Amino acid sequence: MKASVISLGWHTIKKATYGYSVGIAAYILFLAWVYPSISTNPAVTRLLSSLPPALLKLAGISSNFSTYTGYLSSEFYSVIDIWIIMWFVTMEAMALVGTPRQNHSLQWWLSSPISRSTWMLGQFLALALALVFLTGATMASEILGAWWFNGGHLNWSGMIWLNVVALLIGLLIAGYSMVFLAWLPKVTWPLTVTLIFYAMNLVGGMTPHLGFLSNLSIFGVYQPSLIAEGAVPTLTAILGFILGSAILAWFSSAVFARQDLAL
Amino acid sequence: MINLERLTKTFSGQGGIRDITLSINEGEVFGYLGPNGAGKSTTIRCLIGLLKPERGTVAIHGLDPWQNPKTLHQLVGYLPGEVALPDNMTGSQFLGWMRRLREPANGGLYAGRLLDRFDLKPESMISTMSKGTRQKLALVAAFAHDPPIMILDEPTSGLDPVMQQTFIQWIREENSRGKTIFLSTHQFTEVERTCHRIGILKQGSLSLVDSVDHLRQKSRQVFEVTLGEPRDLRSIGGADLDVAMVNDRTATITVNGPVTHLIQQLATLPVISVREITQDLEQAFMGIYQQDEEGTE
Repeated sequence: MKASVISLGWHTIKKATYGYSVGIAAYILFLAWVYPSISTNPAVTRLLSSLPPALLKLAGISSNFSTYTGYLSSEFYSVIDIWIIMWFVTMEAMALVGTPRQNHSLQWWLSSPISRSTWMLGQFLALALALVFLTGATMASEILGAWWFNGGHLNWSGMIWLNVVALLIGLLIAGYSMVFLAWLPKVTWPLTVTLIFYAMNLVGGMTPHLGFLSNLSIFGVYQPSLIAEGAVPTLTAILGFILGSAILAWFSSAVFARQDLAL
Repeated sequence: MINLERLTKTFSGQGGIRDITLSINEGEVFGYLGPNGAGKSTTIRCLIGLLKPERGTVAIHGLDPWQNPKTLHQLVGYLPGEVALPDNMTGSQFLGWMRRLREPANGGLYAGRLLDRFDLKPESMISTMSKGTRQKLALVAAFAHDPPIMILDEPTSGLDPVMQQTFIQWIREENSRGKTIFLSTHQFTEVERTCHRIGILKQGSLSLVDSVDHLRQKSRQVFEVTLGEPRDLRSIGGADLDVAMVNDRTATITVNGPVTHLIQQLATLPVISVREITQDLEQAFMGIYQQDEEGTE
């Protein structure tokens, strides 16, 4: 694997990665700034207790605002973070593979002495690198928020696991996005499949007799409020995500190597 | 050097190429001609390893482009027909990425010479470049690593006449350095001034491969005949002679077959001059192509 292939991928998505990171950091720091006033406000607790549990579950809101990490798991990780990751990964996978295929600029990179499978794996690794960067920015801003506004109180384990699980989900989305884009350069497929997974998890979570849908969804393991309270995913689940991403990345390179490209 | 053996690649709709057999020697400039949709770009995409042949074989330096693109692309420079450059960088960055992807091949020095040659300043964003500048940038990027084999798909589209001349001169110089050049084009002056042989593609099949000189010779011959006294020369017309009167003493006669028939006819007339009108390759090509069309119908 030539480092320049990954660098080229990183060059393509670095502006978007920086943009998303700044946005995430600003939002988390804002949440951290307002947290002290929310955590001590009995009206907020009363309001949350008055809401139907199903609605809270649907919105991913935990009534546990007594800890900074629990509060962030409700206000950021439960919905916003996962939506950012879904959108970021599918859109940047498109920028890396789909757009160069559609506008034919891929002809240049593939006319250099780089095999197609190397190029495809390089794009996956660039996207993985961007996800790691995004995760790093998320964690750094959470730590800064705790330090600046909350007296340094931070549930380190909860914060790390929340970010690790979100990163693993992002990697899996990156894996199957690459497979779709190696096969057909259409933007809608990766996003559509991701939304289907998300909807399955949502429906499974709200309807007890359809609970199996959550288990079939990649978002089934993502329960921010539980993770913040110490319920970390099993080692099997973690290895499953890592292995699944690696297999999908390899499969995308194999598919791409066999494609006719009318560039 | 470049060998195509019964190369076939068709698409589910229409088009593609069928049974193309062709051999291009080392140090040769080969012109690949044909109307739009004839299959020129499909052939080139098979040569560069972007399309997998349905049947037949392609080999450059004995290497199959589909199986060994990595090795082959060190030897080959490819200029696509539809130049689509990445818009999210400057021309310099683009050249820099191409150089990094081609490492360890060192194209820095040669790339600099090409930039001077084509008078290109690549510092601006590609998205703001004109079509001609993009074409020049594409030329420099494609051949910056000084490859021994050059494959060009309509290389001068978008270049102004001065740059077209520069390009033709450059191709001749590269060929004199021993490079093998495969050139697909619509520009007949380009072919006439650079190519040793040409292949004419029609509806996916190779209808002719010949040397440029021989093609000129065997194409329809046109003569201007002047008589010593007014006479209607249209009377000597036949199946293989087309006569067009210029004035009452002069006519241009196109000979579609052996020239002996014309000589026999003129022997009985008071001819004072016979001058052969030299055809350029474009006329020759059109003539061959029309004959081919008539033959098909």
